[in-house]
Amino acid sequence: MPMNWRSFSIRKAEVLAAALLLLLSGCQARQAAPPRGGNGQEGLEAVLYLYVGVHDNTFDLDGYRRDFNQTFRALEQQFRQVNPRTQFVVQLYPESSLIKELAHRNASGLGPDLLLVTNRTALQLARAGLTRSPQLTPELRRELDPATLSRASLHNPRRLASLPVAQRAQLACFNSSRLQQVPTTLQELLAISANGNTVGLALDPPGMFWSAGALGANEALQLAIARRPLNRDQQQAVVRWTRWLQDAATQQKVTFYGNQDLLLEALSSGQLDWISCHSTDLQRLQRRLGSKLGVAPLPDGPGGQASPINELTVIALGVNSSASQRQAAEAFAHFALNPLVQRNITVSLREVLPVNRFVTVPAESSMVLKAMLRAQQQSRQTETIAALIHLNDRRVQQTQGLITQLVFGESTPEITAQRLVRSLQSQP
Amino acid sequence: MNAWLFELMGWLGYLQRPAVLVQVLGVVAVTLISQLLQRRWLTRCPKRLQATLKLWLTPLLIALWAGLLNATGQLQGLVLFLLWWRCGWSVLVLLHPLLGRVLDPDQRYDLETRLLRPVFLVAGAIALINQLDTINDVASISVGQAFNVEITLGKVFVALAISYLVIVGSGVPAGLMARGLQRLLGISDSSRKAMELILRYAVVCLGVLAVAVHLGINPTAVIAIAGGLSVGLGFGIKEIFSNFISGLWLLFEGSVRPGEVLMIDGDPCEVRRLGLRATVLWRDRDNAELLIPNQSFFTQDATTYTGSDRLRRSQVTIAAALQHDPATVIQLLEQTAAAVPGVLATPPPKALLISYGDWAVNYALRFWIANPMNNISSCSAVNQAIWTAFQTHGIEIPYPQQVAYLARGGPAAASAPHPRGNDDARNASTGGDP
Repeated sequence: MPMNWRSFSIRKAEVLAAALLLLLSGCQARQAAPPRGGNGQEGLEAVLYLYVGVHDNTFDLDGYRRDFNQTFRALEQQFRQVNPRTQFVVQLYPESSLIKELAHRNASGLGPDLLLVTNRTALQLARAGLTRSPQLTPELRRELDPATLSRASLHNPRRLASLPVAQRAQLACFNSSRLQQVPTTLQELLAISANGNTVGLALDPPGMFWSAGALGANEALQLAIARRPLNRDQQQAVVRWTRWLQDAATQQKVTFYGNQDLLLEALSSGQLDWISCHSTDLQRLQRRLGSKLGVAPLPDGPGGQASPINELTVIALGVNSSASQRQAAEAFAHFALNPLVQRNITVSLREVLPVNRFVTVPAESSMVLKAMLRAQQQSRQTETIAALIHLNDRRVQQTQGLITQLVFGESTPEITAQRLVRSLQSQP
Repeated sequence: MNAWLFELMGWLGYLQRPAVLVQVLGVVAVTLISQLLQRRWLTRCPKRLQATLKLWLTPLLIALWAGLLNATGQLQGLVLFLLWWRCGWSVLVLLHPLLGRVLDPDQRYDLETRLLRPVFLVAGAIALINQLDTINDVASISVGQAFNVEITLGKVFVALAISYLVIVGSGVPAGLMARGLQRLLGISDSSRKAMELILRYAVVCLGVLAVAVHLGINPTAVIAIAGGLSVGLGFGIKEIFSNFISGLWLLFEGSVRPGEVLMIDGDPCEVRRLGLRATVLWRDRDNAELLIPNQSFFTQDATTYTGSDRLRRSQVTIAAALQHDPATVIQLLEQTAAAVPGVLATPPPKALLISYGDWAVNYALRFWIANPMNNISSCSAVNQAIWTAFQTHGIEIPYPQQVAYLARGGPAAASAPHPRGNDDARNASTGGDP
């Protein structure tokens, strides 16, 4: 009987497509990965989807993507020594849209297995039920600082939202070819601007909070965020801070910028000589400024030490993973906390600090690491704030609005301080 | 190359997840069921119902599958995405008759096949990639370097999309602009078409330039390469290049434009399109389209009926019997031609006595027509009208005839003149078809 080739081809093509789909689902990981690791182990077999959170307007995003891929591939390679059949697919997302994105993708089953995000974002994701709590072995729990674990946990009900893997430090970055002397105090900072050096300060609260500690306002602000009353001295400390901010704004060579990425752009293009920056920005700044890039701790002040908010970088776990993906994801998160891996990342990158308590940072080997350790010490006083407030908190936006009015001279330091405290004490 | 292959393979890893596999296999299964139902069962339905079900049966089954997953607490986001995509396709098919109301078939065909469907498919593919990955990450994958510039997938896609849209989509804006200029300058239709083509080439050139700028290619490098390439062009693809330049020249010169009528091998042909390589002409006689390399118009003589105007002077010849007064015949011919539709009143038809033949007086009737392509049909109409007019007025169209006389008194008698009468002549006719 003659065959109807047209109907044959259509029907068979459909059946073949379905069969191919099944085949691929079974064989994909086997094809993608080498058959056996160098140590002869089979290891965990899975394709892991890793979402990486980035700022909305990340300075030099392509550079960031390249740097991250380079760093991550090195880590992946180490992990694949043990689990050669595990593959990673890395995707970058703006942190501000991560909740919406994850809600959408989780509904399709296409959500990530792992997320590398800031602690603030991880807490939000966990609150929204978009991630699951990681398992923590007693050994790992012992290796992590309880305060760090507390920052990465939800408190009501108490559960771990993510696994902290690194800490980035807030520092001072400057153009060493233009600055004769690095400012170590707030007075020196204003003095260099008076001498003609350009200084950039951030207007967003996480970026500018470091100056509050140096003026003695840190404790008062922490109390306000915890919605507790302030006494007269504490209120005066907040006024001292707002007054310094306004004084700085009146300086001809001091400029306030809307966000951290604008500061980085201005320093790398030579518009600014001194800015506050994060340790994770150093690689991209180095690429632009070369040997002219100088790094130091943020300046202290008459009220005490600078109070930088050192963000925790954490690994959160997705909810869509298959059993093998879940197992591999947990294994990778634990692997990232391994003392050897933590030390390697710290020393080779010089961008983040370890969270494993048993890893010592060779501070004497590098000025950057030394500055980062000093920033870590300074940031101890802001751990409560870091845990209490998150980026999407309404109070953060209100604070930025009040500070903007202050630096543009539309409000007095006294009124701003009053409104600021009231705003911080309000319901988040 | 490896990077995007790795990315592509990475997406298949989602199939390791039971929730994803269930959704995908479910959609594949219901699509197969839909196809089966359409082949086995749909043919028995009334035509109208058939058309509706053909369009909506698959989306309906996918929606049912999504509902089932939802009811059993399973994830169904991917199914909903595929459902939206499939519904979009059905809506696109529904647009077909609606577009037919506002566009002619050729325009609708072009719009659907060159713009709507490709855009829908590409948008669907991008949306699917965005489900599996992030467009920014995929776009940043490097595919190599050109002129010391890193070329990424995103750049390649945008460059292709711009080029395609410029080539396909420049027709309508160029046409509108040419019409606007025609109104302002009062130019002819053929000049408008030429201008439209020139504007289109200009837009395409700008598009190519925009693509080069988008890719970040250094203009100096492009110029250097173009310089080298021109030598290669001179030797390698000389004919193509020559035809291209000839086409541009003809456009600017205005001697061959869309709408012009040229004589090709004795047949009037209308210029349809002036392409980059060849000109497309339409021959009325057999409805053939002729592709003639642009270069030919430079090297060969050409006759045009539309150089300065579109009028054509046509001519028919007719023989009338010798006994009719030429003045009467001439007047009748002119009146007859003037009454034929399509024959212009001005210049008026003109009849001429051409010669005295052996058995008839030969006349020529010259008249003018507005469309040179209608020459044959106009001549036919005039010839028919002449036959009718001659019949009405008793003017004879003689058969070819020859009179032979038998010589009774030798050659002298044979050479003596004899009166020629119709009846005698016809009786003595020895040749000619009736």
